[in-house]
Amino acid sequence: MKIKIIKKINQQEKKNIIESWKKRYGSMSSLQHKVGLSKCSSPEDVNTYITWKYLASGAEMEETVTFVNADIFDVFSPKRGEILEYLANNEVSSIRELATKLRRNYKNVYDDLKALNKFELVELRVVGRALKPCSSASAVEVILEE
Amino acid sequence: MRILKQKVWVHKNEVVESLTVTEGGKVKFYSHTYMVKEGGRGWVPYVKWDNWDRQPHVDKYDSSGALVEQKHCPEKSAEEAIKLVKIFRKNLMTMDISQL
Repeated sequence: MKIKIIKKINQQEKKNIIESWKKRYGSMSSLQHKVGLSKCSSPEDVNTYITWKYLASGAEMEETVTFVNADIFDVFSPKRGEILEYLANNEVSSIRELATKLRRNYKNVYDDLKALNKFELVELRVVGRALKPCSSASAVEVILEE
Repeated sequence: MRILKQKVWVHKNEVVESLTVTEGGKVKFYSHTYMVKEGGRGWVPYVKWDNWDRQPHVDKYDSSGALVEQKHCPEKSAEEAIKLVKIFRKNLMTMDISQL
């Protein structure tokens, strides 16, 4: 059994991604220079450069996270599934707001988010002094196959 | 053009991160990196298949993440790379991967 999390990147998210790279690397040309010097010694930099180059020229982007082992089942629970479903359809500004909306204890929601974040099922963005939980998935597929 | 970023968890602390860029169904770029989370040092690349500079090859890295070997290797799809990682995992480090 495989579980596949699918995320289609929209225009705003593309802009945000590129902005974060500008902060980190300065510009695409400075990253290109860095990658040219280091060749294949940094897979992350090479992949970032390639992604940036094609995103800038208008490419569509999709991200998937797939689990092919049983570890993921330690992470999933009905309550955590509820969090994923809620975040996929609603926006919240903080963990506290999410806990209030779900009528759950803050600490339990925090712990669940941390566990989901470890496997990149949710993002926890720093906004001011709060952590803003965001869904990493637009779809979750369960695939029954070898 | 389409960019597909895939992260496949093959084990608790082992992933394959794959990036494939296609245009009109043709693969323009691919990179499939087998990474292991080493205690306290974050994710370290072990093996990477890619066609950077339009040369399909496979790279091996040491435990500090430094490139130690690069060999020509036929093009690999993400599925092929994931299959090899699932079968051999860390044993890939001691194998001649370019022959697989």
